[in-house]
Amino acid sequence: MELLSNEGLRQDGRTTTCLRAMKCKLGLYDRPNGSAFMQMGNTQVLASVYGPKEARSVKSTTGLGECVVTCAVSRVAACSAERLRKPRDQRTRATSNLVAGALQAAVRGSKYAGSQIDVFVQVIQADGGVTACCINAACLALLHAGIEVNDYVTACTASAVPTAAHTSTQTCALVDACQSESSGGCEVTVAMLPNKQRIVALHTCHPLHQSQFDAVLDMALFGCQQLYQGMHAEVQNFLKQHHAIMSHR
Amino acid sequence: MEIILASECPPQETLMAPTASSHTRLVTPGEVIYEDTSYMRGHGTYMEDGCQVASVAGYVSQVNRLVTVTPLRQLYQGAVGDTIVGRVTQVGGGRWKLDINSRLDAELKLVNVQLPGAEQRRKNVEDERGMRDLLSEGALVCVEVQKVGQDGVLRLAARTNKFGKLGQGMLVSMSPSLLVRDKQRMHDLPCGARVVFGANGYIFLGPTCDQEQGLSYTDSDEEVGVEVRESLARLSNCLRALAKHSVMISPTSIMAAHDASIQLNIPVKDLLKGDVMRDIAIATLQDIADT
Repeated sequence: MELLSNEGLRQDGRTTTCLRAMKCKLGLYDRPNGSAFMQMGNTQVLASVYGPKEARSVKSTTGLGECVVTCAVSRVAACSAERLRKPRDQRTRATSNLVAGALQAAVRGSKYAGSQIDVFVQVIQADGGVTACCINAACLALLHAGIEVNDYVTACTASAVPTAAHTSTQTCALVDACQSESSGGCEVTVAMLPNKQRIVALHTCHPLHQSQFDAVLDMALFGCQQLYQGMHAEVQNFLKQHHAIMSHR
Repeated sequence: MEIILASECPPQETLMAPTASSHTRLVTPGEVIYEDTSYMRGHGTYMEDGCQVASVAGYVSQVNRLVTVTPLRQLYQGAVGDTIVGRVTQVGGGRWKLDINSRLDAELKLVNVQLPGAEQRRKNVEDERGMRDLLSEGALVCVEVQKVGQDGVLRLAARTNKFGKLGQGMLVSMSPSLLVRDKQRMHDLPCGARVVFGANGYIFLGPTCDQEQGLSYTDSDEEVGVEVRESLARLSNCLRALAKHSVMISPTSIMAAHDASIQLNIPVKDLLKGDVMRDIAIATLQDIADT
């Protein structure tokens, strides 16, 4: 199966630097403090944030400890091609830790000493870049909850695939890999603070040659910046609408 | 059961044409507000490399040199003198811990509570043992913020008979920024409901009671009439509708929503449907704009 045609187009017709169609929405539920929906191509994720609230599940030893961000990722049974038995397993736990770590880097913990922030993420549909989508959705939910953060956290994946099927020595970096591209090549997830140009999470499960790494990383960072533009536009849109209504008294 | 897809709901911008917001500056985290260190940094901002940067998504407000960014939704920050509604989460050690929609639980000391019988006296060990009889876990109370502690924990007080345990009724919670700031926090609405607008975003709805009696610490088992219960349910659903569409909550806006829902002849349970909630919000906004 050829992941990249001779003309340099991918299976779904994108060029190597083209992201999948992205859509996001702030504010879905009443009960949580913040909630958001994020869609990247066929990958769809819901996130909700509870807190910051008094730390109960994580006990601090002396006085008010640092702010703790906990995350729980779960998947619906029909999210991927094969039906899942359990909504949570070892893989979602690993994803949860990664997401929590990336968010912890952005949240201004000193403002919320002794509190905990619970993030719940549900994967409705998985088609590559699930971890990245979870981080983006969780970031939007944090913003919706009005929690103080240093910056957005945006995450994007990149992959390296052979340029043509017969020459496996030359590879080309792709941004925002879908399921078939990440299983055929590799999937590197990068989360960054876009305004600070700082990487806060870097993760891959596949072997990747050192010579390809720089190209793949640059591609993922480029994707993060693109996603930031989209998310920023949506947050601005949300602010504009709701602020207009709230200024009516 | 009726199901409506999110995509079928009309977009929000049709709700109200953007008005006064054109001159307000809206920022998102990481955005530089001023490239200048001469401004003082308020809430929602931080300094980095000589720039003042926003840390929440919200609108910029400036008082002289103090620049703050206020998010549209946030937790209760706490201010001395606020009347708030809280739920008891812990009892012991001469104090109650209250969940007040804030980042930390607040503290209500036994010393700061006026005991039933309007007696001002020193509290003894018996009183401390009987704390759970006054307020047990899960009880709702209406209290006042007395002090904001050094560590950010709020200290509460219930010194007058205006404050105390809230009996029969229901609680609606929302973002505190949706509530209109008002000195009077307890209102008896003409539809037979007593509403306590906690400044922390917890709104308590209950049947009206005698004014002079005030709040006590005993539960009343008096049956509340069906009409009153229905109007309470209607009010709570109206509150949810307004909160969902970010309409500012005040006694006038609630009554406008309540009257609009009666005028349109909407059954109470239908008020929870997406399109009906929207209609109510629009009707309320128009009603407020007209008066």
